[in-house]
Amino acid sequence: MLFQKEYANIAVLHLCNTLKHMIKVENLTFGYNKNNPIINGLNLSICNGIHLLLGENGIGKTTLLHLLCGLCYPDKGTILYDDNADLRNPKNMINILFLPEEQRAENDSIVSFAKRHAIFYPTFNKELFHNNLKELNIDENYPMNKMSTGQRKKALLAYSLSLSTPFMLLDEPTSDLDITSKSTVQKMLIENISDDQTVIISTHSANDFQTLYDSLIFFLNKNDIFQNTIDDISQKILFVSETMPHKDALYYERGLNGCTSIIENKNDRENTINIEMLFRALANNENIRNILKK
Amino acid sequence: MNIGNFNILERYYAKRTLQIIFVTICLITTTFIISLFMYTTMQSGSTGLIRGVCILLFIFAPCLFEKQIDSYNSTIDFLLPASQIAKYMHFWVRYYIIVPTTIILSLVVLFSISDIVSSGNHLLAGIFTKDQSGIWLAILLQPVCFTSYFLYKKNIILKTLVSIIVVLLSCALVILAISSILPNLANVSNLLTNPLFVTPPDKEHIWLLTLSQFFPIPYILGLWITSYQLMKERGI
Repeated sequence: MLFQKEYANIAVLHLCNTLKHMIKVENLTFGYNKNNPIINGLNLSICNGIHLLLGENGIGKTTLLHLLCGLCYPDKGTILYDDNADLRNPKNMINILFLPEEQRAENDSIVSFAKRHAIFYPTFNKELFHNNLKELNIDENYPMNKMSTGQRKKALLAYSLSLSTPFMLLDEPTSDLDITSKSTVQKMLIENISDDQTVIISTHSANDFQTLYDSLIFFLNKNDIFQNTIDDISQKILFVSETMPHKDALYYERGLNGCTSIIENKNDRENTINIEMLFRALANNENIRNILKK
Repeated sequence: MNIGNFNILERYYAKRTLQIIFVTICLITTTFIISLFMYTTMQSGSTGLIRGVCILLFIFAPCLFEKQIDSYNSTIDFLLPASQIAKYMHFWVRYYIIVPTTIILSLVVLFSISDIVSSGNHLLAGIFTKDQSGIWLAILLQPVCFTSYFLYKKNIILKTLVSIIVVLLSCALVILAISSILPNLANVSNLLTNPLFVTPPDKEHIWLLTLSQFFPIPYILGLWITSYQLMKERGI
């Protein structure tokens, strides 16, 4: 638990210089079965930026998003959005958008859905919405229940991004998307998300938007959360690809094209983080944790 | 309650409400045609079928027309930025005003048409008689169904049926208890089906009968408040 709290604080210090649109989770406990909580005493501080939420299946990522948007009530603890705790207050709700991985398909087109749904959201940008649909090549007037899962997801993503809410929670936004659409969505995220917005993206394919994230939140185990900024991580560790494991490797993985090692970044060398490898390394290697803790 | 909020919510759900009105009209019309067919072939009054369907439709409408509350069906509905009371009022208006009004108006229109077609022979006459026992029972049981929709997560209709049986058994026990206290009250069983027409007992026990007659008001209000609280506390 100490590990989790320390990292939460480090991440906040590094990222939240402006402290805009902050989500604060304090001692959060929740379980569908009260004797076996999925989330137990979780502490997190998340502010403006794009955050990756990564973890194994069934670890509680979607449950955390459900709790963060008020779909479930915590058994214990609090969730504060800019110091407001009442998540079902309409004044708070207009600031939060949650896009689930799967949901019932409406039997009308995305445009007519947006027409009746967007009236709740004063920040809706109609022009942006139509541009997004155009970029993703979505037929504006085609009924959503007749679209393929991927097309429906793209339509809803185009709409969600145009709502421009201060807080956005996206659950598996890239699942069911083709390769071209993934890069279009990444481009849209860069263009549509402002610096003031707080976006949490939960995904299994961490490398999809590799360059987009400002910070990482890893669910390593039930009570073991790692949270840190990309800048801080890249300053402390280095990913090196060679034919053989590096002599100072803290952790390495062999692949078809050689071997990638994680070593301590002693000379402040610039490097790109391999997020999926870092996740596996943190789950298996105490040394890397200790270096990142410094 | 924020009325503006409620209006926006009604506009958002307008299409769904129209679908429910359409299904209700279709069900009533189909039942009416079947009853008419039974009347013309068997020459017997079959208003019982229409009455039964209307009453069942009124009681079970929330469980029949609303989708099961879960993350797949209800995420968008749950996250609509409207107050909880506005969301509750939307349900309340749908099942206490829109559905009953649709049922009554459909019956009036269908009977008027049948009267015109049969040159004033009043086919299937009798549905709007003074005997309103079924309607009274429906008014008592509908809040159970309304509450069950927010209470149960799975097998809502089955569990609602069980709840209704439990409520009816409890009512029967209350009536038995009253009968034992007021042995001279001949039509005490009417308390449940038609309480306003129960013959007044002797002056000594009039308080008990008055209490029984006004029991439905706190009972119905209590269930509405319970359903509101359940909706408010409900998670996915």
